[in-house]
Amino acid sequence: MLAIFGSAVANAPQELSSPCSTKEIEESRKSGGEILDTFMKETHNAIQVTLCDVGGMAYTHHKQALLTPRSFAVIDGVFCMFQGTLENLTALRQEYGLTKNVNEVMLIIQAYKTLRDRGPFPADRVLASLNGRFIFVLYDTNCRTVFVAQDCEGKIPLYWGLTRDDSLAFSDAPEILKASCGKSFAPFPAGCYFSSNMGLKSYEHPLQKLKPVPRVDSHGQALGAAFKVDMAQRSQEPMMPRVGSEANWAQSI
Amino acid sequence: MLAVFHGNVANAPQELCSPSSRPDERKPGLQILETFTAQTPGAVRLLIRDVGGMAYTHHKEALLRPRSFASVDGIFCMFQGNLENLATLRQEYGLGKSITEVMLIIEAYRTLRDRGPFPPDKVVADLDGQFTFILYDSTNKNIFVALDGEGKVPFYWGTAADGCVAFSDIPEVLESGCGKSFAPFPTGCYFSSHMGLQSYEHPLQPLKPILRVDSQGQRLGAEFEVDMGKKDLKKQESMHRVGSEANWAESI
Repeated sequence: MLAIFGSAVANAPQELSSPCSTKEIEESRKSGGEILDTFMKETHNAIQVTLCDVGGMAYTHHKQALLTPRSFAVIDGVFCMFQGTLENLTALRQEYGLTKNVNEVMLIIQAYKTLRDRGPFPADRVLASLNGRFIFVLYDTNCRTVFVAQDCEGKIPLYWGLTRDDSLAFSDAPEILKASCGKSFAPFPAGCYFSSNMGLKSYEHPLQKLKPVPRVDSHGQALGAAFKVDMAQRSQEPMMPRVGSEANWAQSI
Repeated sequence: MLAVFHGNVANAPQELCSPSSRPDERKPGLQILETFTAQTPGAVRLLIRDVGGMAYTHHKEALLRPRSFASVDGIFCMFQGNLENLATLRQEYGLGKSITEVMLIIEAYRTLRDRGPFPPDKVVADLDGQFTFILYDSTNKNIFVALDGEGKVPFYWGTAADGCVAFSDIPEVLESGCGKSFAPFPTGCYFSSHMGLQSYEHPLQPLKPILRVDSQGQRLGAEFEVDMGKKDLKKQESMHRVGSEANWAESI
């Protein structure tokens, strides 16, 4: 699966961009639209969604793992791609008051909508309650928000990178990003989430900051940085900021 | 909204293709889709490889007939309008209060496909209101398109240069893409890959093409109307008897 978002909706951390950008590497990098087109041409039974001026998503059920299937859903302007399984799906359905026919991807959309509209607790709490192996990429057209997360174990690979036009790309196939983002790509940190408003955060250790870890290839050239939780440093922000009733809760996602 | 489907998924009636349509005035299906996306502000486009695509926008939508799009379990659906009996239908299908019109259409289609408790004309006839919808099921490569009995929501269909079938609520889109090979979609009817064009208001009557000409006297794509004088002999036995091994999904 592949998702690309323009810099207008998703600002990647600077460390994801590789400082080693020779002319050859720069020429091999592609724009967001080109990556999506290549994916569509090279992938069997691919389905692509182009979101106006924002980017797009593409996925296929071809060669998907039996125990970690891919799924896609759109409900009320919220587009979501999900891969993996949730072990506590039944309990979560009950918690959110959903029917038996609700699958993983629909549950993620419902959980996000609850978070966006009512915000009963912080985003890290919602994600921490998801039990299983999973990755998901969600885009909300109503408030132009990207929301991406990976489970704590990181059993399902997820990568992110920067394209030539500074779009942010997410994929479960490293070859796609290697061919199109040059050296400006890295594995997405396990137990973390990325959103348009909050940037990259750890939901496993919500009070700790994330630090970039430099990576180099076999030729000693710097790649896009990986991110790890810095257990020594604490985030200064209070957990539940006090705001007046007129404040927009959706901005804390 | 706009949907384009290849000939291998949807075969439009021959009468929809105008004999006086010049090749240069028609575009291939995907080009129509690209033009629509490029010219429409806030357009969202869905491309399905070897099948076609869909595109929609909330730009300039009617206040009382909003457009909506949903996708669940490989079923993609665009809906325009509203259902007056939505609450009753939610109860009938055992759905929650948060279910919107477009989600209900997907659920109704799935019930029809998987369990087939009654014929499709009964399901569509149960929908009360001003509506039009385009549904594509990627599981069995089936399309299902319908328009309400009053035809209050404008809806058109046409054939593209490469034999694709195009559906849209904007006539200008099809006029520029399909040339003269387009026509208003018949009210009170549905179109599906397996069953072709059928009337759900008069399920036992066949549909007859009505020739249309423009101001220059050139033939346009034919319109379809229910032929009240004839009865479709195939449909006389409304619920045909089949063995348990038969695929019910093919009667949609």
